[in-house]
Amino acid sequence: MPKVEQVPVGRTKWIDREVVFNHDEEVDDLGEWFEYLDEKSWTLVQLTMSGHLSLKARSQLDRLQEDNQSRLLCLRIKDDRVAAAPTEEDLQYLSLEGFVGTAVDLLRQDESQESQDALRLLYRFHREAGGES
Amino acid sequence: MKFLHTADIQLGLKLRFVPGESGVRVRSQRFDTLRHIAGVAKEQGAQAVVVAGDFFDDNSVGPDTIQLAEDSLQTFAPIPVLILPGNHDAATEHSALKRLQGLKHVHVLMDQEPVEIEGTLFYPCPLSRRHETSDPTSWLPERDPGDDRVRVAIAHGGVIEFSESRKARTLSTPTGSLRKDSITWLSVTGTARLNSVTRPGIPAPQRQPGGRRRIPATSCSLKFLAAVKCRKLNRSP
Repeated sequence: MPKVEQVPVGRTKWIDREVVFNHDEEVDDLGEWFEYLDEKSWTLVQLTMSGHLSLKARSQLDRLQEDNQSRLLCLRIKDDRVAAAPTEEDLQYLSLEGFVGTAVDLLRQDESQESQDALRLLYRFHREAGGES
Repeated sequence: MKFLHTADIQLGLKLRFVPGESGVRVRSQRFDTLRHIAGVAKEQGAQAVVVAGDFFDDNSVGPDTIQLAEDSLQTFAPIPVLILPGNHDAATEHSALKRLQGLKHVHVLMDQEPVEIEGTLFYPCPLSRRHETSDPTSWLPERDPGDDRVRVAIAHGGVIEFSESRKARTLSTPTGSLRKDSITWLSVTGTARLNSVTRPGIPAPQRQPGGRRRIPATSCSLKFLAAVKCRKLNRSP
């Protein structure tokens, strides 16, 4: 029989990963996975995500994506199937007065994707304005 | 005979989804990998190097890509390099492979003509168009009685089975008409039915239905080439 020896020669790593979120803690798991990737500067990742998260976890996921976007050779994200629903804790945090509070109320009543995204961004801006990351 | 088998290097792949400096880096890496392969061929004592299709990403690659390819191929000398046209650089009138010049050790396999190197016969099965539906191995001749030379067929797997849904299309290796005892080794990209167990090449984004590109589904960190050592005829693979 012919004898075959395989010799690795590739420099770049191409990874396709799918993540389904059922709990907020799974964002931490994803962060850990990113952390332990070898040679990020030569790694291309396609990340397809779905599932449900709180606004707080979704905000954490956004930061995780932004951080790794600049570290990896390429990070392609598909996250339009990640639903971010406010928890009681999120709403307490967003219980604001004035026009911002009114905007939160209006957005919560509208279940469209645009309103969900807006609520998520509002949560994030509020968090960043409060000096939290 | 000991030869090195690689494929799908796709020089000139634009990788537009990798922007800026990173894009430049990852595009030039392919040429560096080719030089690295030349180093492996020499270390391994390979008597020939087989590129089983898609050396270039497209027949319309620019002169800069051709020059970079020639400079990288020069590093293989004096080892003979056999380059088969695949579906990306098909053996058309305007094949980019025809523009490779001044490389005496490089054999571009445009025709169905065997090439003999150190007593081993290499049978090219080039693709003459991008979307080939016929079996490019169908021309392979039967072995004459008493001929026990090592025979290596070189082919490039293509999409030959389509269903109504583009999602359901499958990649098939075109070996339907090949008799098991007619060759010793089939160097092919894809899954072969004979002895070939390797699937070398450099990962590239695949086009999904709807024209979107995606990164291949598996982690391809250890894409390999194969150093293949063939003894004389093995009639029962």
